[in-house]
Amino acid sequence: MNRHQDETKHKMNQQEFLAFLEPIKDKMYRLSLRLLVSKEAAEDATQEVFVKLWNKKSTLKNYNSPEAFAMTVTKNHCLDQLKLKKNNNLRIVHNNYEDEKTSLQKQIEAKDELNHVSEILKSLSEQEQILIQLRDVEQLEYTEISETTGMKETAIRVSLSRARKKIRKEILKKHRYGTV
Amino acid sequence: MERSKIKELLDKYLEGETSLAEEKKLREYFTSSAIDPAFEEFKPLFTFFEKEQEIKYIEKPKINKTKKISFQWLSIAASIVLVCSVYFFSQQKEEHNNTRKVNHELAMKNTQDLLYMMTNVMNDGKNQLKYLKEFETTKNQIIRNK
Repeated sequence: MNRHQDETKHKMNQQEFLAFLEPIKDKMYRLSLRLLVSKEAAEDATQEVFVKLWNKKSTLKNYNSPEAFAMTVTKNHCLDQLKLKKNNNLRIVHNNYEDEKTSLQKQIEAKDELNHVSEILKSLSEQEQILIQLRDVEQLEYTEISETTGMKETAIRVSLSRARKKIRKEILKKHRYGTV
Repeated sequence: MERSKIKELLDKYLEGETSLAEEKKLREYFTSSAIDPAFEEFKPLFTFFEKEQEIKYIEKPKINKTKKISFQWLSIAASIVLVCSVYFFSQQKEEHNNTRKVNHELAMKNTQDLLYMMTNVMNDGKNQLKYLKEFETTKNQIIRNK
């Protein structure tokens, strides 16, 4: 009897699973979007992560923070996707596409500083992108970020500081360029 | 907020030492209208973060769960179609056989009619040939007379 109760306590039914996803699905999608750039790819990735989590639903509750675990799965899935792309040489195609986009954007960019920031973010390393996304966009505590990325808090702060300085430097470059 | 205070917060921010509350303050300041031009470069940054947070995931209608269900429905639909098609096919075949019998008789009659018509035409043609024979006999008469 007791054991049975324990089992039901740890297993998630569909409704619980959906309730669990509801508050974090946007976060997961935004992280995918940050890393994969294309909306289509990010939507697919989010969907696939949902499936992965659903398959693991029986153990989901055993994690310290299921949310952080969901974010970890998202992060890893996206990084895998990027690796796959690189292996398939799709990266080159994607870069070409990006280059074209930036050159086109540069013409309009003078007015659109936000696009410029997003372009700068793309130039950061994957790890820096993840950290900026989790801290500055999602406003997560360092403990949560640590759980998601598996990095130590001090390492996170150092990497984040580097990323923020890089972004600032790039924005300043643009600003000065514009005024001269 | 005072300029020195913001400067202090920004420095901490760049070193990765701000708390979430302090970062929130910065975000609020830089998304407001009155910004000190000395820190202008941070405006797009914090506005960008603010805007990024508003992106929502729009669910696509293809989740694993529904996929399974749709396969179930698909198999049910397929079996119904199969049963129906077998039924209709067999019925059609029967009908087809019946019409074939009728067609057979009809075809028989039609060909007979056609053959009759043909023989009539042939006979007509044969009658016409009699004139030719007449022509030849007269011609022979003329030649012989010569």
